[in-house]
Amino acid sequence: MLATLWWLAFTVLGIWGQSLLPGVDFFAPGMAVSLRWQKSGATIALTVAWVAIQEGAGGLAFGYAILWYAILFMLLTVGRWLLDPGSIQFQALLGLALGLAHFLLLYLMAVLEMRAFPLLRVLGECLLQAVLYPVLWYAAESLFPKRLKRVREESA
Amino acid sequence: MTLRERAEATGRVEKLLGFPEPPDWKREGARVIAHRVGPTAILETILVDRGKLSGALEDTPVLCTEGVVGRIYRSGFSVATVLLLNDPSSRIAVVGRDNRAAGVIYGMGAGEQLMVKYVGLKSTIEVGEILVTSGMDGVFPKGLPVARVTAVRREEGTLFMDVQADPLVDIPRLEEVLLLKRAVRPEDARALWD
Repeated sequence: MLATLWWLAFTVLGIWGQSLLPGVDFFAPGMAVSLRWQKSGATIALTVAWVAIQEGAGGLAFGYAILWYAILFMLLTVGRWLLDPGSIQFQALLGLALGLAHFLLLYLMAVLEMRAFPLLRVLGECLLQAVLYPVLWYAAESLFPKRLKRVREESA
Repeated sequence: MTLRERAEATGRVEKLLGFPEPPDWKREGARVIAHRVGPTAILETILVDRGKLSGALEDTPVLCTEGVVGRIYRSGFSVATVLLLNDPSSRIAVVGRDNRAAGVIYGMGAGEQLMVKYVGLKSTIEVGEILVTSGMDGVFPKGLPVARVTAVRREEGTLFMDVQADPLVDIPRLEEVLLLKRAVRPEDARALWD
């Protein structure tokens, strides 16, 4: 129940943040937190909900959000073997990788859909994504209830 | 909603309903429920609370009392995405209201002026002139106000003038819009003749 309420609040705040700063994904840090502390089923359910929100609200054809969260999942999984997933340095590196991934994915989708590509605006969004990701991750990680962390530690 | 907000909204809706309905088109009000949201918001769009269930299909013209806002680009069951006239993918066929010079308005992005292309060098167009839809694009009915000309340059060695215009609509402040639906769909027109 507590987990459901916490993730509901996280998602609502994420939507608010995304309408405030268009072009930035506020849910991405949630995936890092969920993968670290929760069972994989919970992460999958959250990711499906976030994909639906991103695809429904966005202006591109279906596909961007699936690729985006697949890249994030891959980076988080591979990164966990090499670095401490709880360190801010790892998350800052991940932020840079996400900034680059955002640019490449948007460019790919714009080319496939034959849409104009607003280069300067997208570059600004990539920079924001890279800077905001570790900050948001730190906030989410700190605010994630200890009780839920303990539950995961015991079951692990 | 406070009483004051409700009074202001009523005023705006009354103004919208006063918009003259073009012949063969039906108007329907819609509320703006979101502007650009999320990482996939590469296009200049808004979301409105009308979709396929209420007959808001792709390419439905979207207006407000000041003029053209854009057209529906993607329609869901209960919401639709409107491609705004300032998006770089947007094209609207226009003519000058006074001098009838024809051209095509291109969006150049948020906060940027619109570009009017293909205005012939021999045409007459003046700064301050209102550009209205020509109806030649098959999307918008004829005569809807779109933009005001802000700069006209005639350059040597080109066939067309370099014309810039400002949209008449204040997009960030949009709260309610009008959707224009065809009273007779183009594919039905043939049946009428038969």
